[in-house]
Amino acid sequence: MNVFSGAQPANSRAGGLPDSAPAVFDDFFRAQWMGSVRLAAILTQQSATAEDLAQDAFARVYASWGRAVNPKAYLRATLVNVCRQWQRHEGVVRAKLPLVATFHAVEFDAHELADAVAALPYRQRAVLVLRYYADLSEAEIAEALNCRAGTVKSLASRALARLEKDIQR
Amino acid sequence: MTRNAYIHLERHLGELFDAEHQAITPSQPEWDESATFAVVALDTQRVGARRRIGVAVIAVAASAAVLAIGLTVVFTVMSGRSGVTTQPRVGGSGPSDAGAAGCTDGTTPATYPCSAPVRWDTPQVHLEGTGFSIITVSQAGAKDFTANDPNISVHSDPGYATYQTLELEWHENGVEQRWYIYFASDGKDWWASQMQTFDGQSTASDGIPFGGQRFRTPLGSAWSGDLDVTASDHGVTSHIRMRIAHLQAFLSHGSSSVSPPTTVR
Repeated sequence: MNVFSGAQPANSRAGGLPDSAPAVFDDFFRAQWMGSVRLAAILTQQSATAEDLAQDAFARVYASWGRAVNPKAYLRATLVNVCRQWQRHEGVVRAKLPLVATFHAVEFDAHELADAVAALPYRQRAVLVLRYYADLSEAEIAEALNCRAGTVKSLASRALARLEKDIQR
Repeated sequence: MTRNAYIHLERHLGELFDAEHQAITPSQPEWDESATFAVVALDTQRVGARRRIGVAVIAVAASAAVLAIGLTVVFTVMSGRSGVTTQPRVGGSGPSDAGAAGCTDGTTPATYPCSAPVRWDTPQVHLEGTGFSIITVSQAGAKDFTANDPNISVHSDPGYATYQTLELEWHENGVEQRWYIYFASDGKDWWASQMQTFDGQSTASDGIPFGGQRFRTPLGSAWSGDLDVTASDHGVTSHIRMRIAHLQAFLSHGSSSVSPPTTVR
């Protein structure tokens, strides 16, 4: 079964600058900052250090500015890595992310799903976030996680199976 | 899990992330260059108090001064670089010793890493131009390769009327790098059918293929123009740039009844 069923994510987060390198880092920073903080928060399922993690990632990108072919993709891969390192150091201590009530909230327990997502191993969670939040393709997710496309499929499949089991429990 | 269950779960995930997205309201600071001082010590700084985003007037002024001095040094060094030289190999000759050039074509380090003019000749292929670079980017960082190796190897597989190569191999940044161009011809035109670089990651580097047809030109004529291409493989992105003044293949070729390879790697 193709775990990427083709169902469109609820919102497309496509935005910010096109993939061609902007001339000025400041413009890049301004355009990508808020999306990076949000991505860091959802990847780590906590908000307390999301800005610090995003700042770390931008500092690394700044050090290579002008050499990255696709700064946006490089920032994304760097942010995924920074969040993974943070997770390894800090463990699973987590202040829950706030949730804005959505129209479909009555159909499922969002907090229960959020807990299940937070309990996933980092790479499984990262695949789900990059696909269903950042709306990336398998190839882009593989690039961000520095793995093969087949590994992305396998991670997603295991993540969804584990979520389904945890929610039904 | 049934397919419907998967679809429902995928939808709920999207809705969950959307709810989290709307609830997160980051601040919008300006970029603080003093953050770059933390790059090399990020991991050691991660334990303990984390650095806060803020405006440190003295730190910003000091970092701006360091940046200005550093750029001045870089430009001074780049403008003093000599041209790429090699020991000629059998079947090839090295690039011309064009002397100090730097970014004479008006490009800047932000867009094209400065590199001296290059010229690579074999009996089959002639390539010369300016602004040559291969940039590889991975999670470990980015590396620039400008073929700055006096022992660069320049070689062509003479092939036959429909196939030949230009193969450049050198060492830079402590690793092996290469640029292979595979040429094809149908008797009327010639073109590049594939290119390859190394990923520049280690001494056991892996190849990154660039597919697609390029430089298509009538036989006997040369191609000139800007080359600016990107390819990714196994988590590494490779970017080749060059202002090609003259590229011509099939200046001569071998003769063989052996068929050309159907795939090249």
